[in-house]
Amino acid sequence: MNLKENLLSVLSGNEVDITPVVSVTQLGVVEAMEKTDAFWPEAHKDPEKMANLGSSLYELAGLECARMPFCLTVEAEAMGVKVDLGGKDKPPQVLNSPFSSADDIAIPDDYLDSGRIPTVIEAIEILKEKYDDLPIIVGITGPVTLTGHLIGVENLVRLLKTDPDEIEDAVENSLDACMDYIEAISEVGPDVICVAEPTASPELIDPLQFKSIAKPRLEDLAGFINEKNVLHICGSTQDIIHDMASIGYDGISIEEKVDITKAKEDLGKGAVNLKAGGKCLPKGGVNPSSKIIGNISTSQTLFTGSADDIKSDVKNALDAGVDVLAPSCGLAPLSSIDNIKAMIEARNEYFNI
Amino acid sequence: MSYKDLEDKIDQRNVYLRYNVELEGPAIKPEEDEEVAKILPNDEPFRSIALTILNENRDEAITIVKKALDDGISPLDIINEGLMKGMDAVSLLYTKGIYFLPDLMLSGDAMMESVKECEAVLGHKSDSKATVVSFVAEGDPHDIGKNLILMFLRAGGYEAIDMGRDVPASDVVEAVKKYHPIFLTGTALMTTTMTAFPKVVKALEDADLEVPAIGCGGGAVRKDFVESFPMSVYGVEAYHTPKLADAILNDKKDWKDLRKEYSDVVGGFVSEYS
Repeated sequence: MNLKENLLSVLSGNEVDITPVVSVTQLGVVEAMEKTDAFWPEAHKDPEKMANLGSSLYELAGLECARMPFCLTVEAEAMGVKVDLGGKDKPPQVLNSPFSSADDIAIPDDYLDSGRIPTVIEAIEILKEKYDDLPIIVGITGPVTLTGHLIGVENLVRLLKTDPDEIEDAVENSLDACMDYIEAISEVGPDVICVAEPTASPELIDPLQFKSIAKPRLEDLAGFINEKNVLHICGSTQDIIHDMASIGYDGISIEEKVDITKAKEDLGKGAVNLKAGGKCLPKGGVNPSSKIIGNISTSQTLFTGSADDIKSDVKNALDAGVDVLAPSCGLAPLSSIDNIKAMIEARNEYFNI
Repeated sequence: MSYKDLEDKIDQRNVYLRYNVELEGPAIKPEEDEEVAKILPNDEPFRSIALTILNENRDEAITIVKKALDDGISPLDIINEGLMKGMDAVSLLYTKGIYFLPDLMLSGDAMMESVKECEAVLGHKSDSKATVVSFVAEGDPHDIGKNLILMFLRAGGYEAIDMGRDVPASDVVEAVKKYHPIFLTGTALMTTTMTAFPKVVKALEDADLEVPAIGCGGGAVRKDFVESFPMSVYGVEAYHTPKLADAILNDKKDWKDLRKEYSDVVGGFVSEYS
């Protein structure tokens, strides 16, 4: 079984001999930029460089995927938000947005040709050409996070309490933009699409509102993606694991703050209920529970930890039954390639390969 | 088999699922929470004022505070006995996982607007205890955490200097030279930007400057990382900030003490420091 089949097989719910080790989140690190000569910010705009950096950790460390882009501002930029692409170790960030309310949010006519959307699509094509058996993971921005970029996160969080209807409209409009983008990237055939939704984290919004406002839109999005799909939410998501897992994504990506054993228990309960409850939950029986992806700490272990720290964290995660081994969040750009290698070696050691 | 025995055997989750309902907590008002009840003042008008903060009702807070001021109640009493108690209760509910970030922000809005009303009557800003400088790490556009810190610091009687977001280390050095703060706070949401903190410490050391402590915190930031460089202390929650500043100001604590005595300083169990 090659790397691509192995990952897709896990996400399809099959048992595999070796747990894949990938990154569903940002993986550009400065050391790899130096070795591939694909530096930020150019790698955000140049398809060739984006492809090179996206597959750099496969080439240099043996990570079992290619993953792009390296930020969550692609869609927002194409919709007309001003983005500062940052520097070598400084990620892109939203500067200001022309939108202030839900009604303002409109998809420009040339949306799919604007900003860096064509770059991402071209980069996928380059990678498809280059690798037959390497899974290509594309990260997209979730509707709530996109809304945050468009009308400002602080605005979003306040309005969630004072005017939830307005936010529902805004998220609905953002969802349309997400879908258009997915349609465009689907045409070039990536293997996995990872929806990153950091703004829907319980650290920002109330779990009940995650359920009432974010979940239905994420559900629509999951149904719309034909590829294997993953939902990544940052922060301590323990309170919403059950909701995340019952949306219908093939995998959910979690941070180190989430206890995998407990999360698996929550998922297990969901699966039993789906059978017992019949019609109550979507996709019952077809996709009883999402696979768990994670959760080697990017802020501690992979960034500043020693090889031993990484080994023990990897062992703990695998013991707890993680389905796909991955960094817990976007890699810090100053993380060393040696630490990524250590993560993969620790996995190999665990499986005696 | 009695019904009671049978009931114990049923997995209630299946029942909820069958009827498409969900088990939620008891529907109690925030002020009925036992610990909140202990914090809230019993005397009017302070109780009503605290309650408007607890209920995140900005307009009503301003109305009641204005009326209290018209009735000749001391503005300082309104701030300390009413508004602050309400905010303490909000912080408590946040710690307990009943309130969330939006609640903190809206209660904060209500409180800051009310404080402004009080200061207008006072004729000057209420005396500030000392100066604290707050910044968001270079490259990071996320400033909700910093804004909360500002709000808690100002409510706690500090002059809080807002340096905004995406602040380069050199600007922080300039600010320290200019304001001589007793405490610095730096926040970062992303793993990709928290590396700016050691750079700030380095820049301060290079400029031969020292502050008693730099409180570092935010989304991806972890205690181990913050403690890997000097002059810093990991801040767990935004509302801990004024308490840390108090410890520096009153008890002459520095970053080494704060790392050791964090739980005592903020007065409560903090899992990160246990």
